[in-house]
Amino acid sequence: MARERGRFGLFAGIVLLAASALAAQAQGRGGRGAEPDPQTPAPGRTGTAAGIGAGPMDYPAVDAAAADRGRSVWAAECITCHGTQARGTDNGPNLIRSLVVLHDRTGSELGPFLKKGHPLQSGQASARLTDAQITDLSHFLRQRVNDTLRGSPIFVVQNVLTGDPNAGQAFFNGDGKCTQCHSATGDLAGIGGRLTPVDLQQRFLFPGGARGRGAGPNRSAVTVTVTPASGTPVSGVLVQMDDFDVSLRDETGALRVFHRTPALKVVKTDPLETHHAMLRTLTDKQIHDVVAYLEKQK
Amino acid sequence: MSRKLISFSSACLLSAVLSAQSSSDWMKAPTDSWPTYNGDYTGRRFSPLTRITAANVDALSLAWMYRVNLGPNSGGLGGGGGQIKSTPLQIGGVLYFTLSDHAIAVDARTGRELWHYAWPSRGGIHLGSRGAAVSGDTLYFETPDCHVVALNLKDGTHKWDREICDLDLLYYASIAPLIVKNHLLIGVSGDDLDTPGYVDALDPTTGERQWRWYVVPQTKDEAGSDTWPNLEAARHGGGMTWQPYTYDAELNLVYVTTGNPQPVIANKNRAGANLFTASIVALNPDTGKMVWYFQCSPHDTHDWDATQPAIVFDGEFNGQPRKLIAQASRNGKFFVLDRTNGKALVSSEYVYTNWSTGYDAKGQPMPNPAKDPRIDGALVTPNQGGAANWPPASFSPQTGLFYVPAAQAWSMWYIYDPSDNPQGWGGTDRGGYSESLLVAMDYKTGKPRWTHKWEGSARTGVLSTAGNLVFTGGPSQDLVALNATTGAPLWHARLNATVSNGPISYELDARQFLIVGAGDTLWAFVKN
Repeated sequence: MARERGRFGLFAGIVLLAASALAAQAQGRGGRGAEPDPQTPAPGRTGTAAGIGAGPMDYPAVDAAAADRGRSVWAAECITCHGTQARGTDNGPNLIRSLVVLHDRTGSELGPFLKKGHPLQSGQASARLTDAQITDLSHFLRQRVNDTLRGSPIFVVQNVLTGDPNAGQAFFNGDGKCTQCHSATGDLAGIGGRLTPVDLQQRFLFPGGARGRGAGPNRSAVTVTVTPASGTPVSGVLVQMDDFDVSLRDETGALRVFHRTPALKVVKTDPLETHHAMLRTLTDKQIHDVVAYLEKQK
Repeated sequence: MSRKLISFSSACLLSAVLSAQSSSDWMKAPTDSWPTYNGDYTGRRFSPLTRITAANVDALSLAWMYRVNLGPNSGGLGGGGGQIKSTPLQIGGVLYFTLSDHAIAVDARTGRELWHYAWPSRGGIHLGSRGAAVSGDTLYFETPDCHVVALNLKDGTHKWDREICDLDLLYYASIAPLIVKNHLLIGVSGDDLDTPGYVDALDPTTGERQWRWYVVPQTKDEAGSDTWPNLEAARHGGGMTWQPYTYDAELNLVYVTTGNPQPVIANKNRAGANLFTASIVALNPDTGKMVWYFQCSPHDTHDWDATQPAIVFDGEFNGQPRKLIAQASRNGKFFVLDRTNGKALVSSEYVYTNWSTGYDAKGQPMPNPAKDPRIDGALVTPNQGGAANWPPASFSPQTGLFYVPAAQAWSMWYIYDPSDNPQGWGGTDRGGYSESLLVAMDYKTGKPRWTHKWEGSARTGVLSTAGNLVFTGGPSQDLVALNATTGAPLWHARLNATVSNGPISYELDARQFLIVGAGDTLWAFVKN
């Protein structure tokens, strides 16, 4: 459905870290919107600080060792008709969407189904599968189902190095005007060795992350200068601003808070404004070309 | 006026709102109650009250606050389930609201708890509960473990419950049901597995199902099946019904907004428009038959459901009085339709978007395939959270403006599963930059009249009032009042958490109350 954003993940530790980072980003930078991007909780994960997961509480967690054993049974008896990922072939149905599989609890449904008789690759009677084999198959199939959920460990960004590094270099030094602030031999020297290609791509488009906003001096920190109607301008790193108040941390580290009035002049400076603005003009080709170029800076 | 008389008056208004089917004034919002999720059937979230105005809003004072105590057996309601995302109902001087597994009644004047019902959960995604519905002496709400529960309104005791979806298929239930005549209309949530969304009409007395309408075709003979490559794809094509519906009592049409198709991001096995996902659909509530549809995101590939509120209002358009329905959709597009037939009058956008090449003859956006998610990434706005999401918008008949809690949000969209038969998700977006906005759309032109940019993250429900005010959540964990005509911020109050629902207003004892939820706390402000 595309629920609202805001659930926590299949792998709670990883996702909680990600959510924390996103929340910090949202707090400091305008962020992603109302709620952080979630991951899908695995069925049966319950009662954690991250909340109750998808599906019923009595779903058993996947036993990886059992799933590995089940993979062997699968390869010997099932794979020809139902496919490597259990998504079906012309000879057998998709089991990811099978009600027998989805209602199964370590063999509770799968066992009786197979005991009734079902063709196997080896030609042996399915009723001869042992309870242990059925349990292993159940874990293998549940693992295949979980692999389709958002947050699945098999869902990773693949190759993003599809651009032309020469075109990227030309853009970097030319129309992109990147050299107004950056240098491939200066601040970006060796960046291709420090970041993975996908992190490089994300950082190029969305720099700054959770750093900076009010946390102390750094290159991407938003600064603000506040000038009262009668008084000396006060400048510093922006801590928080809304339509009614503005607060900053001045050069001494002191927090200064001002109530906003028509007479109070407030000038905000975001050093990343150019990055934000170019989101409207960058093409996907330019993005991939620049990433291909920067990736070579090792 | 005595409390008894006020309660009687509220009850009559509730009855009138919920049962009036032919009166020409069915659209009038009540003033001493808030009897449905949206306050009335239209979804406008407009209060005709005028005690609080742009001139005196800074004189609002705190009346009370109520902090929810879910108790020791709440199951650790993280991920949003422990927040008040529901819009309270106010009937007879009592506020009724929900959280995942919980229904609570508090006195509308004082905030004193009257009863608290806790459902013993079997699991499910505890993302939030949108609210309850009331008919007569019964309150209904959905639970994350796929049940609708009926409670005695007076004391919160259990009457009956019914399973409405299959928890094993990773459905869950969260929407505020809607009572239309003798139908209890419910919807389902969950976009993890490739399962179909549907609307059920239940008997409000027994919970027995009266009819079911599937969002995606379940047989090859059904309408829309030719927009899927095969029946297998259609039957598993998603389209969850996870946001409350609106209704036209005169036309007798329920407006259902539907979720995105499945698989969500990777989409090689569902070529076609994928009807009736990501659509506004008009159903006859007595039969469950579809009367018309308008697809907001044909062949969506970005998780952009069209479940945002479809708001019903009457207004002049090109010099003619028209029956209209409008939506600011998650994909950034703004649509104004003739609600008698679903014909588009306006197709535009309320934020900048970069994913479509224009509009087809029906006014539906035409997606640009170059902006589909890619293995190496495509830069797209909106992001997955959307230009709008579940926080309810508002329409003021006084200003003619449609107020959208919006975001101008960018992210990179990736395909993780490039196979020909992806399942579930198979991709998502990453990273991003977002600006939070409140956009006031002129429905006649399809253009923003004004846009207020928040200094920080803010996107919560909106209430507009006849006092020329708009109330919504701000970026500083505050409730903010803006001038409805100009967008000028006028007043705010810092709360203990970010506003988490849509504000409501009602008048009791000649005092106008303003109620808003922030995290686990309900706040009441009043103009004496």
